[in-house]
Amino acid sequence: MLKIKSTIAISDSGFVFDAGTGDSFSLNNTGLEIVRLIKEGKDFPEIIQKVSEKYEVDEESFERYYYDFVATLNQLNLIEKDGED
Amino acid sequence: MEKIKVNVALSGLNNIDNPGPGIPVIRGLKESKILDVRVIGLSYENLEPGIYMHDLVDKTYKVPYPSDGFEPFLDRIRYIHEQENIQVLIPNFDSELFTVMKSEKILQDMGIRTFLPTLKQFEERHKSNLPEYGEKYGVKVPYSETITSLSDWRRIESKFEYPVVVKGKFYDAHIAYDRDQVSIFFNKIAAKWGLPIVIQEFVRGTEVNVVALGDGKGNTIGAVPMRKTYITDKGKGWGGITLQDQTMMDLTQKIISQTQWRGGMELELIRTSKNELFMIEINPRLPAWVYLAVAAGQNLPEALVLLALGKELKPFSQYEVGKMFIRYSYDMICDMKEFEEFSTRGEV
Repeated sequence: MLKIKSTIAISDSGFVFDAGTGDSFSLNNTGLEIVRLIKEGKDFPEIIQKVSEKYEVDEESFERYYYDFVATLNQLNLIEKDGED
Repeated sequence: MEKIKVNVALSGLNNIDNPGPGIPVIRGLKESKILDVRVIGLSYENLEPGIYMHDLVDKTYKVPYPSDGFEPFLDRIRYIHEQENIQVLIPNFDSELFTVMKSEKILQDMGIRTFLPTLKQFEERHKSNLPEYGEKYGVKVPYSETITSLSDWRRIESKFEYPVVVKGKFYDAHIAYDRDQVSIFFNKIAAKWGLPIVIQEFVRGTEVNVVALGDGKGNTIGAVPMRKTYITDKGKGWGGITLQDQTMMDLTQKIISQTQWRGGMELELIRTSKNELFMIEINPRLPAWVYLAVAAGQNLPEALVLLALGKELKPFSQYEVGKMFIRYSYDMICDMKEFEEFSTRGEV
Protein backbone atom coordinates (compact mmCIF):
# COMPACT_ATOMS: atom_id res chain seq x y z
CA MET A 1 0.00 0.00 0.00
CA LEU A 2 1.36 3.41 -0.96
CA LYS A 3 1.73 5.76 1.96
CA ILE A 4 2.28 9.51 1.81
CA LYS A 5 5.01 10.53 4.32
CA SER A 6 3.65 11.56 7.70
CA THR A 7 5.48 14.91 7.53
CA ILE A 8 3.50 15.98 4.44
CA ALA A 9 0.74 18.57 4.75
CA ILE A 10 -1.60 19.17 1.83
CA SER A 11 -3.80 22.24 1.63
CA ASP A 12 -7.07 22.68 -0.29
CA SER A 13 -5.26 24.82 -2.86
CA GLY A 14 -3.01 21.89 -3.80
CA PHE A 15 0.01 23.26 -1.94
CA VAL A 16 2.13 20.41 -0.57
CA PHE A 17 4.61 21.05 2.26
CA ASP A 18 7.09 18.52 3.60
CA ALA A 19 7.85 19.62 7.17
CA GLY A 20 10.80 17.22 7.31
CA THR A 21 12.73 18.67 4.37
CA GLY A 22 11.15 22.11 3.96
CA ASP A 23 10.31 21.31 0.32
CA SER A 24 7.05 22.53 -1.16
CA PHE A 25 5.19 21.72 -4.38
CA SER A 26 1.98 22.65 -6.19
CA LEU A 27 -0.54 20.08 -7.43
CA ASN A 28 -3.21 20.65 -10.03
CA ASN A 29 -6.77 19.61 -9.15
CA THR A 30 -6.44 16.06 -10.51
CA GLY A 31 -3.12 15.54 -8.76
CA LEU A 32 -4.62 16.84 -5.53
CA GLU A 33 -7.57 14.42 -5.78
CA ILE A 34 -5.28 11.46 -6.37
CA VAL A 35 -2.87 12.35 -3.57
CA ARG A 36 -5.83 12.72 -1.22
CA LEU A 37 -7.12 9.27 -2.23
CA ILE A 38 -3.67 7.78 -1.62
CA LYS A 39 -3.54 9.56 1.75
CA GLU A 40 -6.92 8.06 2.66
CA GLY A 41 -5.34 4.65 2.16
CA LYS A 42 -7.11 3.76 -1.09
CA ASP A 43 -5.33 1.26 -3.34
CA PHE A 44 -5.11 1.40 -7.14
CA PRO A 45 -8.43 -0.43 -7.92
CA GLU A 46 -10.32 1.89 -5.55
CA ILE A 47 -8.64 4.97 -6.98
CA ILE A 48 -9.39 4.01 -10.59
CA GLN A 49 -13.02 3.35 -9.67
CA LYS A 50 -13.37 6.78 -8.05
CA VAL A 51 -11.66 8.57 -10.93
CA SER A 52 -13.70 6.71 -13.59
CA GLU A 53 -16.94 7.74 -11.86
CA LYS A 54 -15.93 11.37 -12.21
CA TYR A 55 -13.85 11.59 -15.38
CA GLU A 56 -14.02 10.09 -18.84
CA VAL A 57 -10.80 8.08 -18.95
CA ASP A 58 -10.05 4.53 -20.06
CA GLU A 59 -8.40 2.20 -17.59
CA GLU A 60 -5.25 1.66 -19.61
CA SER A 61 -4.49 5.36 -20.02
CA PHE A 62 -5.25 6.12 -16.40
CA GLU A 63 -3.00 3.31 -15.20
CA ARG A 64 -0.11 4.73 -17.24
CA TYR A 65 -0.68 8.27 -15.94
CA TYR A 66 -1.16 7.03 -12.40
CA TYR A 67 2.14 5.14 -12.23
CA ASP A 68 3.94 8.05 -13.89
CA PHE A 69 2.53 10.32 -11.22
CA VAL A 70 3.45 7.91 -8.42
CA ALA A 71 7.00 7.67 -9.80
CA THR A 72 7.21 11.47 -9.58
CA LEU A 73 5.93 11.43 -5.99
CA ASN A 74 8.61 8.85 -5.19
CA GLN A 75 11.29 10.86 -6.91
CA LEU A 76 10.28 13.93 -4.92
CA ASN A 77 10.58 11.89 -1.74
CA LEU A 78 6.92 12.27 -0.79
CA ILE A 79 6.19 8.54 -0.33
CA GLU A 80 7.22 6.48 2.72
CA LYS A 81 10.24 4.41 1.73
CA ASP A 82 8.61 1.10 2.80
CA GLY A 83 5.38 1.98 0.94
CA GLU A 84 4.50 -0.46 -1.85
CA ASP A 85 1.60 -0.66 -4.20
CA MET B 1 4.40 42.08 35.52
CA GLU B 2 7.09 44.70 35.43
CA LYS B 3 9.87 44.04 32.96
CA ILE B 4 13.45 43.55 34.12
CA LYS B 5 15.55 46.52 33.00
CA VAL B 6 18.87 45.41 31.58
CA ASN B 7 21.70 47.01 29.61
CA VAL B 8 23.04 44.66 26.95
CA ALA B 9 26.15 45.39 24.86
CA LEU B 10 26.60 43.41 21.69
CA SER B 11 28.49 43.28 18.43
CA GLY B 12 27.60 42.02 14.96
CA LEU B 13 25.82 45.15 13.73
CA ASN B 14 27.02 44.48 10.17
CA ASN B 15 23.59 43.76 8.76
CA ILE B 16 24.99 43.35 5.23
CA ASP B 17 24.81 40.59 2.58
CA ASN B 18 26.90 38.40 4.91
CA PRO B 19 25.16 39.55 8.06
CA GLY B 20 26.39 39.37 11.61
CA PRO B 21 23.88 38.10 14.20
CA GLY B 22 23.68 41.43 16.09
CA ILE B 23 20.49 42.90 14.60
CA PRO B 24 18.48 39.62 14.72
CA VAL B 25 19.59 39.11 18.34
CA ILE B 26 18.49 42.69 19.16
CA ARG B 27 15.10 42.13 17.51
CA GLY B 28 14.56 39.15 19.81
CA LEU B 29 15.59 41.20 22.86
CA LYS B 30 13.43 44.19 21.94
CA GLU B 31 10.39 41.89 21.55
CA SER B 32 10.90 40.35 24.99
CA LYS B 33 7.91 40.42 27.31
CA ILE B 34 10.20 39.86 30.31
CA LEU B 35 13.11 42.18 29.59
CA ASP B 36 13.27 45.90 28.99
CA VAL B 37 16.56 46.08 27.13
CA ARG B 38 18.76 49.08 26.47
CA VAL B 39 20.95 48.04 23.56
CA ILE B 40 24.54 49.23 23.40
CA GLY B 41 26.03 48.42 20.02
CA LEU B 42 29.71 47.62 19.59
CA SER B 43 30.93 48.31 16.09
CA TYR B 44 34.24 47.78 14.30
CA GLU B 45 33.52 49.84 11.19
CA ASN B 46 31.91 53.25 10.60
CA LEU B 47 29.46 51.85 8.07
CA GLU B 48 27.95 48.93 10.00
CA PRO B 49 24.22 49.51 9.37
CA GLY B 50 23.24 48.81 12.98
CA ILE B 51 24.97 52.00 14.13
CA TYR B 52 22.27 54.00 12.33
CA MET B 53 19.27 51.81 13.24
CA HIS B 54 18.12 53.85 16.22
CA ASP B 55 14.83 52.00 16.67
CA LEU B 56 16.87 48.93 17.58
CA VAL B 57 20.22 50.21 18.86
CA ASP B 58 20.13 52.85 21.60
CA LYS B 59 23.82 53.84 21.49
CA THR B 60 26.81 52.55 19.57
CA TYR B 61 30.51 52.64 20.40
CA LYS B 62 33.40 51.84 18.14
CA VAL B 63 35.61 49.05 19.46
CA PRO B 64 39.10 47.87 18.44
CA TYR B 65 39.48 44.64 16.46
CA PRO B 66 40.12 41.51 18.55
CA SER B 67 43.41 41.09 16.67
CA ASP B 68 44.63 44.28 18.41
CA GLY B 69 44.87 42.27 21.64
CA PHE B 70 43.15 42.01 25.02
CA GLU B 71 44.18 45.32 26.54
CA PRO B 72 42.86 47.75 23.90
CA PHE B 73 39.59 45.78 23.88
CA LEU B 74 39.27 45.75 27.67
CA ASP B 75 40.21 49.45 27.96
CA ARG B 76 37.43 50.32 25.53
CA ILE B 77 34.90 48.09 27.31
CA ARG B 78 35.90 49.71 30.63
CA TYR B 79 35.19 53.15 29.16
CA ILE B 80 31.84 52.07 27.68
CA HIS B 81 30.92 50.39 30.97
CA GLU B 82 31.56 53.65 32.85
CA GLN B 83 29.12 55.42 30.53
CA GLU B 84 26.48 52.73 30.15
CA ASN B 85 26.71 50.24 33.04
CA ILE B 86 26.81 47.17 30.80
CA GLN B 87 25.14 44.25 32.57
CA VAL B 88 25.37 41.61 29.84
CA LEU B 89 27.84 41.36 26.96
CA ILE B 90 27.01 39.23 23.90
CA PRO B 91 29.90 38.83 21.45
CA ASN B 92 28.41 37.81 18.11
CA PHE B 93 31.57 37.13 16.08
CA ASP B 94 33.56 33.91 16.19
CA SER B 95 36.76 35.96 15.99
CA GLU B 96 36.05 37.92 19.18
CA LEU B 97 34.85 34.98 21.30
CA PHE B 98 38.33 33.92 22.37
CA THR B 99 39.18 37.41 23.62
CA VAL B 100 35.91 37.72 25.56
CA MET B 101 36.14 34.20 27.01
CA LYS B 102 39.70 34.87 28.16
CA SER B 103 38.52 38.11 29.76
CA GLU B 104 35.46 36.56 31.41
CA LYS B 105 36.80 36.88 34.96
CA ILE B 106 37.90 40.50 34.49
CA LEU B 107 34.54 41.36 32.96
CA GLN B 108 32.75 39.62 35.81
CA ASP B 109 34.73 41.65 38.36
CA MET B 110 33.60 44.76 36.49
CA GLY B 111 29.98 43.58 36.85
CA ILE B 112 29.58 42.50 33.22
CA ARG B 113 28.07 39.08 32.70
CA THR B 114 28.47 36.83 29.68
CA PHE B 115 27.01 33.43 28.83
CA LEU B 116 29.60 31.75 26.64
CA PRO B 117 31.03 28.30 26.04
CA THR B 118 34.05 27.39 28.14
CA LEU B 119 37.46 27.61 26.49
CA LYS B 120 37.56 23.79 26.35
CA GLN B 121 34.17 23.65 24.61
CA PHE B 122 35.27 26.41 22.25
CA GLU B 123 38.60 24.83 21.34
CA GLU B 124 37.50 21.23 20.86
CA ARG B 125 34.77 22.09 18.36
CA HIS B 126 37.19 23.97 16.08
CA LYS B 127 36.99 22.89 12.44
CA SER B 128 40.52 21.59 12.70
CA ASN B 129 39.56 19.32 15.65
CA LEU B 130 36.32 18.01 14.16
CA PRO B 131 37.44 14.38 13.51
CA GLU B 132 38.48 13.97 17.18
CA TYR B 133 35.26 15.68 18.26
CA GLY B 134 33.16 13.30 16.19
CA GLU B 135 34.94 10.29 17.62
CA LYS B 136 34.72 11.52 21.22
CA TYR B 137 31.00 12.30 21.12
CA GLY B 138 29.85 9.64 18.65
CA VAL B 139 28.82 12.08 15.92
CA LYS B 140 29.38 11.46 12.18
CA VAL B 141 31.74 14.07 10.74
CA PRO B 142 33.43 14.32 7.34
CA TYR B 143 37.12 13.39 7.29
CA SER B 144 39.30 16.49 7.46
CA GLU B 145 42.90 17.59 7.88
CA THR B 146 44.54 20.90 8.67
CA ILE B 147 47.22 22.33 6.39
CA THR B 148 49.46 25.37 6.59
CA SER B 149 50.96 25.20 3.11
CA LEU B 150 50.24 23.79 -0.33
CA SER B 151 53.08 21.32 0.07
CA ASP B 152 51.16 19.98 3.08
CA TRP B 153 48.26 19.40 0.73
CA ARG B 154 50.37 17.52 -1.83
CA ARG B 155 51.56 15.25 0.99
CA ILE B 156 48.04 14.30 2.14
CA GLU B 157 46.15 14.66 -1.16
CA SER B 158 45.92 10.87 -1.69
CA LYS B 159 43.83 10.52 1.49
CA PHE B 160 41.04 12.51 -0.19
CA GLU B 161 38.87 12.19 -3.26
CA TYR B 162 37.87 15.30 -5.21
CA PRO B 163 35.87 17.42 -4.72
CA VAL B 164 37.06 18.60 -1.31
CA VAL B 165 35.94 21.55 0.80
CA VAL B 166 38.60 24.20 1.53
CA LYS B 167 37.78 26.11 4.71
CA GLY B 168 39.19 29.00 6.71
CA LYS B 169 39.71 28.64 10.46
CA PHE B 170 36.83 30.99 11.27
CA TYR B 171 35.12 31.88 8.00
CA ASP B 172 34.78 30.95 4.35
CA ALA B 173 34.42 27.63 2.55
CA HIS B 174 34.79 26.66 -1.11
CA ILE B 175 34.37 23.40 -3.00
CA ALA B 176 37.49 22.54 -5.00
CA TYR B 177 37.38 20.01 -7.84
CA ASP B 178 41.12 19.68 -8.48
CA ARG B 179 44.56 20.64 -7.16
CA ASP B 180 44.54 23.97 -9.00
CA GLN B 181 41.31 25.00 -7.33
CA VAL B 182 42.62 23.93 -3.91
CA SER B 183 45.59 26.19 -4.55
CA ILE B 184 43.38 29.14 -5.57
CA PHE B 185 41.07 28.80 -2.54
CA PHE B 186 43.99 28.15 -0.17
CA ASN B 187 45.62 31.44 -1.19
CA LYS B 188 42.34 33.35 -1.20
CA ILE B 189 41.28 32.23 2.28
CA ALA B 190 44.80 32.43 3.75
CA ALA B 191 45.13 36.03 2.52
CA LYS B 192 41.83 37.04 4.05
CA TRP B 193 41.58 35.02 7.26
CA GLY B 194 45.05 33.59 7.85
CA LEU B 195 46.25 30.04 8.51
CA PRO B 196 45.64 27.18 9.06
CA ILE B 197 43.33 26.00 6.31
CA VAL B 198 41.08 22.99 6.80
CA ILE B 199 40.54 20.50 3.98
CA GLN B 200 37.32 18.56 4.49
CA GLU B 201 35.85 15.57 2.69
CA PHE B 202 32.89 16.70 0.57
CA VAL B 203 29.66 15.06 1.74
CA ARG B 204 26.90 15.21 -0.84
CA GLY B 205 23.47 16.11 0.50
CA THR B 206 21.29 18.92 1.74
CA GLU B 207 22.62 21.41 4.27
CA VAL B 208 20.41 21.75 7.31
CA ASN B 209 21.08 23.79 10.44
CA VAL B 210 20.01 23.96 14.06
CA VAL B 211 20.13 27.02 16.32
CA ALA B 212 20.29 25.98 19.97
CA LEU B 213 21.01 27.23 23.47
CA GLY B 214 22.61 25.14 26.20
CA ASP B 215 22.44 26.05 29.89
CA GLY B 216 25.93 24.75 30.70
CA LYS B 217 24.52 21.90 32.79
CA GLY B 218 23.71 19.62 29.88
CA ASN B 219 20.19 20.91 29.25
CA THR B 220 19.00 22.21 25.89
CA ILE B 221 16.98 25.33 26.65
CA GLY B 222 15.82 25.65 23.07
CA ALA B 223 16.55 24.31 19.59
CA VAL B 224 15.03 25.01 16.18
CA PRO B 225 16.04 23.16 12.98
CA MET B 226 16.02 24.96 9.62
CA ARG B 227 16.82 24.46 5.95
CA LYS B 228 18.06 27.32 3.81
CA THR B 229 15.69 27.79 0.90
CA TYR B 230 17.66 30.52 -0.86
CA ILE B 231 21.44 30.74 -0.82
CA THR B 232 23.40 33.75 -2.10
CA ASP B 233 26.54 33.48 -4.21
CA LYS B 234 28.44 34.01 -0.95
CA GLY B 235 26.83 30.83 0.36
CA LYS B 236 24.70 32.71 2.89
CA GLY B 237 21.09 31.82 3.60
CA TRP B 238 18.78 34.51 2.21
CA GLY B 239 15.68 32.50 3.04
CA GLY B 240 14.91 29.53 5.26
CA ILE B 241 12.16 27.41 6.75
CA THR B 242 11.80 25.64 10.09
CA LEU B 243 11.68 21.84 9.93
CA GLN B 244 10.14 19.01 11.88
CA ASP B 245 13.04 16.62 12.33
CA GLN B 246 13.46 14.50 15.42
CA THR B 247 16.88 13.15 14.40
CA MET B 248 18.27 16.69 14.20
CA MET B 249 16.75 17.52 17.58
CA ASP B 250 18.13 14.30 19.13
CA LEU B 251 21.59 15.02 17.75
CA THR B 252 21.52 18.58 19.11
CA GLN B 253 20.42 17.41 22.55
CA LYS B 254 23.08 14.71 22.54
CA ILE B 255 25.85 17.20 21.72
CA ILE B 256 24.64 19.76 24.29
CA SER B 257 24.20 17.17 27.00
CA GLN B 258 27.55 15.42 26.39
CA THR B 259 29.55 18.63 26.14
CA GLN B 260 27.54 20.51 28.82
CA TRP B 261 27.43 23.29 26.23
CA ARG B 262 26.96 26.78 27.63
CA GLY B 263 25.55 29.51 25.41
CA GLY B 264 24.23 29.77 21.89
CA MET B 265 25.32 27.53 19.06
CA GLU B 266 24.60 26.76 15.45
CA LEU B 267 25.02 23.23 14.19
CA GLU B 268 25.73 22.93 10.49
CA LEU B 269 24.75 19.50 9.20
CA ILE B 270 24.52 17.66 5.89
CA ARG B 271 21.67 15.21 5.42
CA THR B 272 22.63 12.62 2.80
CA SER B 273 20.19 10.87 0.46
CA LYS B 274 20.40 7.89 2.86
CA ASN B 275 19.07 10.21 5.56
CA GLU B 276 22.33 10.18 7.53
CA LEU B 277 23.37 13.36 9.32
CA PHE B 278 26.99 14.56 9.12
CA MET B 279 28.08 17.41 11.33
CA ILE B 280 30.24 19.83 9.35
CA GLU B 281 30.61 22.62 11.86
CA ILE B 282 29.58 23.96 15.27
CA ASN B 283 29.46 27.74 15.43
CA PRO B 284 29.82 28.76 19.08
CA ARG B 285 27.24 31.57 19.02
CA LEU B 286 23.75 32.38 17.84
CA PRO B 287 23.61 32.63 14.03
CA ALA B 288 22.30 35.54 11.90
CA TRP B 289 19.08 33.60 11.22
CA VAL B 290 18.23 33.35 14.95
CA TYR B 291 15.24 35.65 14.51
CA LEU B 292 13.50 32.78 12.69
CA ALA B 293 13.63 30.84 15.98
CA VAL B 294 12.15 33.87 17.79
CA ALA B 295 9.32 34.04 15.23
CA ALA B 296 8.78 30.28 15.55
CA GLY B 297 8.20 30.66 19.29
CA GLN B 298 11.64 30.35 20.89
CA ASN B 299 13.12 33.68 21.89
CA LEU B 300 16.65 32.36 22.31
CA PRO B 301 18.35 35.81 22.62
CA GLU B 302 16.01 36.62 25.53
CA ALA B 303 16.73 33.22 27.11
CA LEU B 304 20.48 33.79 26.71
CA VAL B 305 20.30 37.11 28.55
CA LEU B 306 18.17 35.58 31.31
CA LEU B 307 20.72 32.78 31.73
CA ALA B 308 23.52 35.38 31.84
CA LEU B 309 21.58 37.14 34.62
CA GLY B 310 21.57 33.85 36.55
CA LYS B 311 17.88 33.06 36.11
CA GLU B 312 16.66 29.45 36.07
CA LEU B 313 14.85 28.67 32.84
CA LYS B 314 12.43 25.98 31.76
CA PRO B 315 13.38 24.61 28.34
CA PHE B 316 11.20 25.51 25.36
CA SER B 317 9.07 22.51 24.44
CA GLN B 318 7.86 23.50 20.98
CA TYR B 319 8.25 25.70 17.94
CA GLU B 320 6.22 26.37 14.83
CA VAL B 321 7.14 24.13 11.89
CA GLY B 322 7.04 25.69 8.40
CA LYS B 323 7.86 29.22 9.61
CA MET B 324 9.85 31.01 6.91
CA PHE B 325 12.20 33.94 6.67
CA ILE B 326 13.13 35.91 3.59
CA ARG B 327 15.88 38.52 3.87
CA TYR B 328 15.73 41.72 1.94
CA SER B 329 17.95 44.71 1.38
CA TYR B 330 16.82 48.23 2.15
CA ASP B 331 18.41 51.57 1.53
CA MET B 332 18.51 53.31 4.89
CA ILE B 333 18.94 57.06 4.63
CA CYS B 334 21.42 58.31 7.20
CA ASP B 335 22.50 61.66 8.50
CA MET B 336 26.00 62.74 7.50
CA LYS B 337 26.36 64.34 10.96
CA GLU B 338 25.99 60.93 12.62
CA PHE B 339 28.54 59.37 10.31
CA GLU B 340 30.89 62.23 11.08
CA GLU B 341 30.35 61.85 14.81
CA PHE B 342 30.93 58.09 14.78
CA SER B 343 34.00 58.45 12.55
CA THR B 344 35.61 61.10 14.72
CA ARG B 345 34.36 60.47 18.26
CA GLY B 346 33.71 56.74 18.01
CA GLU B 347 30.23 56.88 19.48
CA VAL B 348 26.76 57.88 18.43
